[in-house]
Amino acid sequence: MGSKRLRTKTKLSITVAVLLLLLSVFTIGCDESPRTRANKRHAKKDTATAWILPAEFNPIINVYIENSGSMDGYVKGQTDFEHIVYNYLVDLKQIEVARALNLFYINSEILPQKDDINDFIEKLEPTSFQAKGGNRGTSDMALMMKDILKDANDSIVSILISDCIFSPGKGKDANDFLNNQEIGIKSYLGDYLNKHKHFAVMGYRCMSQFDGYCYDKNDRGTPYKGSRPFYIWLFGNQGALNRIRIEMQRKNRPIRGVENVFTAFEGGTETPDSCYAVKIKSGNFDLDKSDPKHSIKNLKADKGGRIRFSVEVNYAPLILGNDYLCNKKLYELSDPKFELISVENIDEFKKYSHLLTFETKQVHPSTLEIKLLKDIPKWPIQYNDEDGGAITDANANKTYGIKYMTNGIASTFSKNDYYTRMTININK
Amino acid sequence: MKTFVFGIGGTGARVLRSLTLLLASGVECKSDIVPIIIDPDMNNGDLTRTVSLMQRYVAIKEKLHFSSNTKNGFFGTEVVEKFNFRLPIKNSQDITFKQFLDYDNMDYASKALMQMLYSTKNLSSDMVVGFKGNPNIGSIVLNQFSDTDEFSNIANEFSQGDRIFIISSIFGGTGASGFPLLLKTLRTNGSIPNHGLINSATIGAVTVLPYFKVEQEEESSIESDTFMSKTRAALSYYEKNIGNKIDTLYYIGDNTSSNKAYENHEGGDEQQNKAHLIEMLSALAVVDFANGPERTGSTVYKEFGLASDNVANVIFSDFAPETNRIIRRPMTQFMFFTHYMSHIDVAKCIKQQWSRNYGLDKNFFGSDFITDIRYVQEEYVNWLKEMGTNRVGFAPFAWDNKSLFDIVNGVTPSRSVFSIFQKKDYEQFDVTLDKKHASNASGTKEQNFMELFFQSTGDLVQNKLNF
Amino acid sequence: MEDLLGKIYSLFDSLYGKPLSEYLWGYNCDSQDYSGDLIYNQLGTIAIITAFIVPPVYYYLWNPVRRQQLKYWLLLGGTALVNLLIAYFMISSDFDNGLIGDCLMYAEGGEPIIGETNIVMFGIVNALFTAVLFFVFSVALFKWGSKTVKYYPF
Repeated sequence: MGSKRLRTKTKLSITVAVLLLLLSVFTIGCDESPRTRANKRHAKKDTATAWILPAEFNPIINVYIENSGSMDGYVKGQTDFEHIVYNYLVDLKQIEVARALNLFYINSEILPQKDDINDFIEKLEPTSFQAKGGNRGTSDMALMMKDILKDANDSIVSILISDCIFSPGKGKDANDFLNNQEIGIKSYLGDYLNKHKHFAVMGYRCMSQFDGYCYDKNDRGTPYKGSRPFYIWLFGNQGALNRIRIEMQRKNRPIRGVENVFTAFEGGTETPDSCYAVKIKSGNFDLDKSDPKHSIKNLKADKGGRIRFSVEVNYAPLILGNDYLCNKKLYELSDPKFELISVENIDEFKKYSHLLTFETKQVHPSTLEIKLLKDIPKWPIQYNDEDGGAITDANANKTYGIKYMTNGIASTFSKNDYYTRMTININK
Repeated sequence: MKTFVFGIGGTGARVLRSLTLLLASGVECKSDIVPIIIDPDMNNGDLTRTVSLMQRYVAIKEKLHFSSNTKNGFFGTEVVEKFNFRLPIKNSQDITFKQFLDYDNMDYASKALMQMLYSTKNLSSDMVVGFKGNPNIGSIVLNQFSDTDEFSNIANEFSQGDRIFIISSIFGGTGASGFPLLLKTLRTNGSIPNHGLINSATIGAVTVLPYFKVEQEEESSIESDTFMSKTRAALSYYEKNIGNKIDTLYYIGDNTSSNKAYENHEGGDEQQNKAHLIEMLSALAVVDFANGPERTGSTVYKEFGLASDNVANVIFSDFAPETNRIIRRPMTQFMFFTHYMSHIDVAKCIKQQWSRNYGLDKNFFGSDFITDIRYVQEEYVNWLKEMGTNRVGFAPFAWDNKSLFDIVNGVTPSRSVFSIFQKKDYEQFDVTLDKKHASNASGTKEQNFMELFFQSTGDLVQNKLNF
Repeated sequence: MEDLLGKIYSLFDSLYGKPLSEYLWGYNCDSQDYSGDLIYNQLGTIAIITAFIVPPVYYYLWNPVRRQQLKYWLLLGGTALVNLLIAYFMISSDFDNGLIGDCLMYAEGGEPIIGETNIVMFGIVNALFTAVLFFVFSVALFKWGSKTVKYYPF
């Protein structure tokens, strides 16, 4: 009798123990195979445009200074214009990114100058402007760009320094002119973009003392003495432009005197896998072992009750400055339940340049797509002079038609509404 | 088949004690034993001790079953209890011999005869404690035992093939007189039940010659000096009168000159003599008879021989191989069994796998069955120790041994090469018990317990002592 | 399936800290993936092996007949302790040799978040894991065939 009881107890014990073991093994072990997971993620990648890294070559830099009549006022005496331009050129040379630095005057013609910067700057006087020749009466920005780009290619960076004031000319329809200019700019730049997929444009608005004649839309000149804006535009391969930008930052020689920035490039890229990663320990979650950089699991509230995580990303290849990148409003999230709390600048020169922190009020599975949107700055509108009348202190900081120019440039690169996007999988 | 064993007097009781312990240890006996003690001394120490032991034996045996599958030998022989193992003797209590004879109502001539045959002391002796070494009294009193209902009852139980054996001492009072009387009744009395079968049954007897002395005691009527003369007297009577009535007669005795003297007690509970080798050998005579052949017609006379000469303390190696074949293994196995039960406390036992396999829990170890076994084992030890200190002594086992297995005097336990890895003593015993289990898991707990210990002790004896 | 051991250990990662847990998963701070040694598997395998080979010693070689219960638990405890020490020394040596990446070692402010305590706690978790395995293997597999200790630990 005792032994029978033993046998039942025996069987019971074995069964229970084995069942417990199997149960725990299966609840813990069963999972999607990592390979399937990885394949799922990769399946959705179809790169629109390739991610451009900063160029490793030294581009040829062609600098074009507009020497039309309206520019005289910037070069009379010692002006910020001269300082800014001089320093810029010197820095360009010093940082040793240029295979060659070529200097030109430009109006209706391109007039090559000697590449001696010092000589060049010394000669920045109204007299030499006048002496250099060319048709100094008109400023056809569109044509100027077309001319500049005519002989350009991916290994050339073209820098245009100008007051960017449109002058329709006597008796011309100003509005038509502006619109046509905009269309023309879009067209010429568009042609170039078609042939050079990674074409990008950067623009800087600077202020300088001005003492000279300002010409209105009817070409009537009025004297003005005071501060006036001028522009430095860079045209070229995105990688080359970025190389210049980064090298200047690295060697601590940023362009000085910049009040506003304008950037335009196509974008529409998928941020490469290697350029962004969820930051470990940035919240209460586990990295998904099959995709530890871009997928997280078990996202939960942390000790402070917040459900959040951070992503490190390298935006250095985008020729966008921190003012742009750190603006939370410029990011669009595919999941409205998530919010971008902050974008912090880490370090341009490290593996990751910026840190994005996301938060949600409620844990839920999500495939979070983060788009860095293209945003046209407002300053061209702010500093746009619509009238084209005489320059007074009231409108001295404005530029006639600048809005049309920037629109034209912006609309060249309007296929995508975002610069780059990345995806993070949460609790999936 | 049954063997009715009549143990007459103190010697009978002591031999039956030895027999019971031998049977407990597993000495093989082909027949059931029905012990019947004949002794008017109801409170005789030897008798009460033996009866107590046999009662325990029976109680234990009751809980065991023996089938063709049973390997267990302990308590293997059936011992049948009749009337508490005692045949009462009518009218011998609380009266004097004189009163028994109804002396006062005799005529003058009879009285004179009585006075001639018996001393005054004899006539006035009370018989509560037997006949105190006076076979002349005993022969008169015992003559009536076949008149008792109990005797008739026993005779009724006698069947074809059953045997009878009589144990008596030749030098005592009860035994010397009782044996011939009993034999005569069995062989010639036509009025006892089953007399046909009984009269022609196979009958054997052991006659124990003097083997001990008693100390000189003035107040006692027993003197060992008279043992020899009484022996001679009895022997001459046997020569004439027993002869053809008995089938096998065993003689045994010992030279008393070097023997120790016992305390002189006339009888009663103080007459409890220490066990002696002679008694054990007499018990072996019973076994020999029970296992022996049927009645052939002529009487066989047997004596016992040792292999060694002149030994003061006999051990197994002093016996002839024939003797050892019968007793050495069972006694040693039972000795191991005894040692285990006395050394290992219940708390340890119930933790072993062997006890758990059979459900031998605290209750089991506290049961009457185990208590009875311990009693028997304690008696076994006492018996052995008594024989050990007696002369001639029988001391087969050492009591001060360091190792459990080194207990047989004259035998060295074998040691294997792997002995360093083996567990020692009682732990080794437990391992053997653990490994032995499971062959008869279907029996009762008592059955399993006994079977387990028998088989395990058997293994240990075989492996350690090689016999 | 290769994550099974890690998943079991990770159930208790709150005891020794997630950063150490990530290290044991094989997290590499530089490549930000789990390309390092899966130490969970290394230690888990040792635990399984020891928990698998020691019980048979108890049940088939040692075969104790005295103080069986005590001996069982001592053996279980000893095996667990050995695994605690193996885990402790293995991780400590990595720790001392600076093999644990900074991204796991330090918090944002620079204060260390993996220390002696974490390593000890993990050692304890490993010991518990070994103990459980030892117990399960004993009870489900090995004890049944034993000649003397079939009924231990129960």
